[in-house]
Amino acid sequence: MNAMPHDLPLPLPLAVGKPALVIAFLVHIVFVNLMLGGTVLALHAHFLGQKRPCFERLAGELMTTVTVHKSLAVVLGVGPLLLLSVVYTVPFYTSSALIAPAWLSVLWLVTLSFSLLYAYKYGWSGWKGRHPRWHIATGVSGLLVLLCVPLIYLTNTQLMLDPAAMAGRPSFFRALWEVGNVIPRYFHFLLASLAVAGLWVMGWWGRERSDWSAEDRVSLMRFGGYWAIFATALQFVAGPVVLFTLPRGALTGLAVAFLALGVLTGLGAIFLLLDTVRGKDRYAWSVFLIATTVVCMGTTRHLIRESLLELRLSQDIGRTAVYPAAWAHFRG
Amino acid sequence: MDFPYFEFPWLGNRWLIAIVATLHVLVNHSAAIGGSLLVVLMERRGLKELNADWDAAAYRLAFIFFLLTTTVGALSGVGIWFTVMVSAPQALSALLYIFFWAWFIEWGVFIAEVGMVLAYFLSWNRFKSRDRHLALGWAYVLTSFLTLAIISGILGAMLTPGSWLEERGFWGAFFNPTYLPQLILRSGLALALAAVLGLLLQGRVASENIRGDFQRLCGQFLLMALPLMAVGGAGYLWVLPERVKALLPTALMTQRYADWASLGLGFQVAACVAVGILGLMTLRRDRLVPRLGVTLVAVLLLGWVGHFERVREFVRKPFLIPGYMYANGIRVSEVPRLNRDGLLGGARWAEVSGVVPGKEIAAGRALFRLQCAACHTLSGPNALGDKFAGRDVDAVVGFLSVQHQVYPFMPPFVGTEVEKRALAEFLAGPPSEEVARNPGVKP
Repeated sequence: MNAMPHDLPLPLPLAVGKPALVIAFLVHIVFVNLMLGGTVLALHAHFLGQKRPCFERLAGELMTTVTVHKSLAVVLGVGPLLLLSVVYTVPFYTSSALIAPAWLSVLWLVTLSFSLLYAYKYGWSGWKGRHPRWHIATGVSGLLVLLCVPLIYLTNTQLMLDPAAMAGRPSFFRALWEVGNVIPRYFHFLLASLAVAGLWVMGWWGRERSDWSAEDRVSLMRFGGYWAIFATALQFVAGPVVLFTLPRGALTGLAVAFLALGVLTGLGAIFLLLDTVRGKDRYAWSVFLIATTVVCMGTTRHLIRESLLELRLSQDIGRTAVYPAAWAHFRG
Repeated sequence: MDFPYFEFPWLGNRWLIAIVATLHVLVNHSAAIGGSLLVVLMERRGLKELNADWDAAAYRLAFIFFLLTTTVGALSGVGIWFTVMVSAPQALSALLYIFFWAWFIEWGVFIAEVGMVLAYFLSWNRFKSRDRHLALGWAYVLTSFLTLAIISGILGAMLTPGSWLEERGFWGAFFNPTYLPQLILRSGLALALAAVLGLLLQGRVASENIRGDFQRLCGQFLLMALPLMAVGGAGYLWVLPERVKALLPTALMTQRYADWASLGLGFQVAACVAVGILGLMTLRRDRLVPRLGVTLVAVLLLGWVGHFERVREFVRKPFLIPGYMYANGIRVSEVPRLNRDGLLGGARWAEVSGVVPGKEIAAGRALFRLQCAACHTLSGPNALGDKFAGRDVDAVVGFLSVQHQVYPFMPPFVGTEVEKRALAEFLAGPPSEEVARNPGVKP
């Protein structure tokens, strides 16, 4: 495979582009986590709010922040897309073209989902009173549509790492089931979203705020805290499934080191979160440890991608060397 | 050649990109670039005149613009990238390599723009000092305009790459001959679109007390837009290279009606005149312009945008980047080698790696995908299937040999003579639908 475009210089060194990609992706994915997890938690709070008004209020306010997070998630996604396009042009564009119908569906799915979630959010002060069931149904529909999108992204980013699978020109659904480990990663990602959103509820509503009563703050701290704790604890089931379903040769020593560090900090975060829910203020340290976990997991993910692409890259280099020689020979 | 080919059913890739891109232009020019200025001026007027009606109207209009830009606007922007990525990956990767840093800066400006619109809209009435809120609004106006200022450089370079062909320098490509005229033209267009959208929504956003004044403000926008559109449009035409100007009749009216090019130009001018008339009519506070009149101008303006984008895209042909890459993604510099060695051998995703006796149709189908499908479909818009079906293969071969001379907007056929005949056999074969279903079918 030719390194594309072979007659133009790379606009930035790969040694800069790859770390920049990891950083830009992590910033993007945190806002995606907040958007997706925030919507789940808002709907949960909405249901709880039928018995306790403070949760209904939380649901409405949480949806306001979801609006901000979703706009930032989209705009912050442009950078990783740009860097991925330059650093991994050929594999990424190849897999995107192979599953083009699904890949293009991201556009209408996200637009539809955002429109439904806007209707849900702005219905809070409007039509919710007249049609409460339709209001909740709008929010649930928006979430269900949104939940389809990560499956498409994951399938694409898994397919791009597997030249042999790409050569078979799989359809989207075949790639979804057969290539890499899309489904375990999907649940890994969903749990991360719930944990990050739980932390967000703890930090934004559960801590000192003048417009909430002390009793409500405790409830909200517990609500966010338990979501963060359970989601992070479940990662100790989902994580090993992801690990054991990785393609052979994916893990290097460095990747294992980052993974181990991420696991340890995740474990530490669970204990600190439990303390926080019980009344000791360990929130800042919990956030620090979860952030470290996110950075470690993001780095591990990148190292796995690199090792899986290593063979392909070496082929690229070979072909890239052959091309100028053939070209020079042609020109005589 | 290095990527799998994706063909959007019936409409074809060209129309797919055109629809998504035009939608993005319409939303972002109207609701973000022009719309941000309209809303901020409304808020300023409310503060200056201590009139809560203006503030409420500004908020209502900002709400609609906010929803539009953060859903359809944002997603159609990413959508352009997605559609081009799967339709013309060679082209997009070349553009990314040339303009990476422009896009990277554009990304930073996008983040600032989204941050500003979120902060501006969601903090309405939350600032103690409304002047600070207004300052936030001006920052939003500035960042929105900057997005236009950056993307104009990239769009312009695809038509007039300036000194890039010789020097391969970023700035030469960015500040290309069509940069400034296009920026002026699009700025005017943004004002006009925002004003027309505002007029269409005036019943929803402006209370009766200020409706006449709101209409007048929109009229001022339209009259400001007109000279910008006229100067930008004339400047744009002025700087176009002669080769490009020669394609204008076809670009304005399609190949079949190229002799009626003045009609296309007339439509452009008529739409601008209509904008001017609406602008003059709306200057009167005491008499509201009928909704039908506004709708008519809105339709004309939508047509104007679609037509302008078509002309801009068409006159770039046969190139994607003049002198560097043809519209089908084949590099100009590679043509001699591909003519000698063939196209199929190096096309790693083609269904066949060469022309094998008895399987010419399959090879022709693959060559169609590689060379023609960027602009043509088999049975949808700009279809080739029925143009050539049943013709003499030698005649089609003859046409393929001179297609770029007969139609200067077409790239030359690239490949060996054997490949040319295979494509001719495919094109002259059975009706397009049958071939599309079964590429192996023999005529």
